[in-house]
Amino acid sequence: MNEKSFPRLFKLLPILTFFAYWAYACLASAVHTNDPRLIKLGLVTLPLLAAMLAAVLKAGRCAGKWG
Amino acid sequence: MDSSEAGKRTVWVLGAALAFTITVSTLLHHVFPGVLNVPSCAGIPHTGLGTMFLLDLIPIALAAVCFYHARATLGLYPAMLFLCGSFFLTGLEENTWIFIGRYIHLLASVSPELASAGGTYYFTRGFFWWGEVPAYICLGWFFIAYGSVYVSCILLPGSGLWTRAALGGFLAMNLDLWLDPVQVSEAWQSWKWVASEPIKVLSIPLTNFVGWFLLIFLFAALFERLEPLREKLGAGKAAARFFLILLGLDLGVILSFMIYGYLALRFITTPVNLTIWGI
Repeated sequence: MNEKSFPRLFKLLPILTFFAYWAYACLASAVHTNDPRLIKLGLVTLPLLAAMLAAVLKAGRCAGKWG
Repeated sequence: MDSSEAGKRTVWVLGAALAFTITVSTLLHHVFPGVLNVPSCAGIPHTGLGTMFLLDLIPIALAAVCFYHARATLGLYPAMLFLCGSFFLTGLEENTWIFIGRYIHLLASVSPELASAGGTYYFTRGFFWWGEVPAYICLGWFFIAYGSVYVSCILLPGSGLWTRAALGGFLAMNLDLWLDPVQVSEAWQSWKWVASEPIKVLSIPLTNFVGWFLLIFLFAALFERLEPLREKLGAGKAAARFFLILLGLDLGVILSFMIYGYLALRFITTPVNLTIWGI
């Protein structure tokens, strides 16, 4: 995969990586603890999820050097 | 610009420094644990060498994806400085705290307040290491910094440097609010807190979260100054200046936290834990 073949997906790579780490180190690890309190605690990261979602939606229009 | 000889040489030097640091630290940790007084991992889950190697592969893969993206969009030289800068900045910061905690008894002769601190923290799991910090933690700092700064640049393209850096720091800290309580739970025990810091959030010392914000914020702000620095000084000198400033920032954060810790231990007599659901 490269930025010329899949420009849209390429732009999303850092966000997807960030999300993948959230899913692995936080979500899956919290489920592994089997502690419902730690699973519910994930709600505190709603601002991060909202920011990632907004960035995905906006990525196509970004004009910065990382756009 | 990356074709310049100085730029290439800088990239090679940084790559060699990274490889050397990880190789020596990994050997010291696993083969000669007595040198750095590595704590026992008895009773800690998932600490077999094979398991730790497999668990390391996930952050390594995520870091590789971000490095590939950085190299394609920014160029090899800035990508390498982002990787090595965040790796060494955060690793140095964490190593300093770990060794302060490990040898707190030596500092206690200077101040009795330090003796009551009891220590700081230490990591339990990792195949590759830098000092006493697992390499995956430092790589995690790299791709979290890269991802959070990237998101903030997309969301706030027209805003100033400090605003974007602040949003990047906030996003990274927000992730850590869930990451830390999960990773220190009984099921994982990825690191152990032995600090008696009086103010805690979700049973994690407050300075941990402030540190997450500050390190990403300061690194993001400095990284945006790299390109003008390179144009002014050239690749080699710009990299040297970049790392010197990082070292200064590291020392500044460590010093300010030490002053805070000293004052907190002296004046806050009743521990405070801001928590929900008893976490």
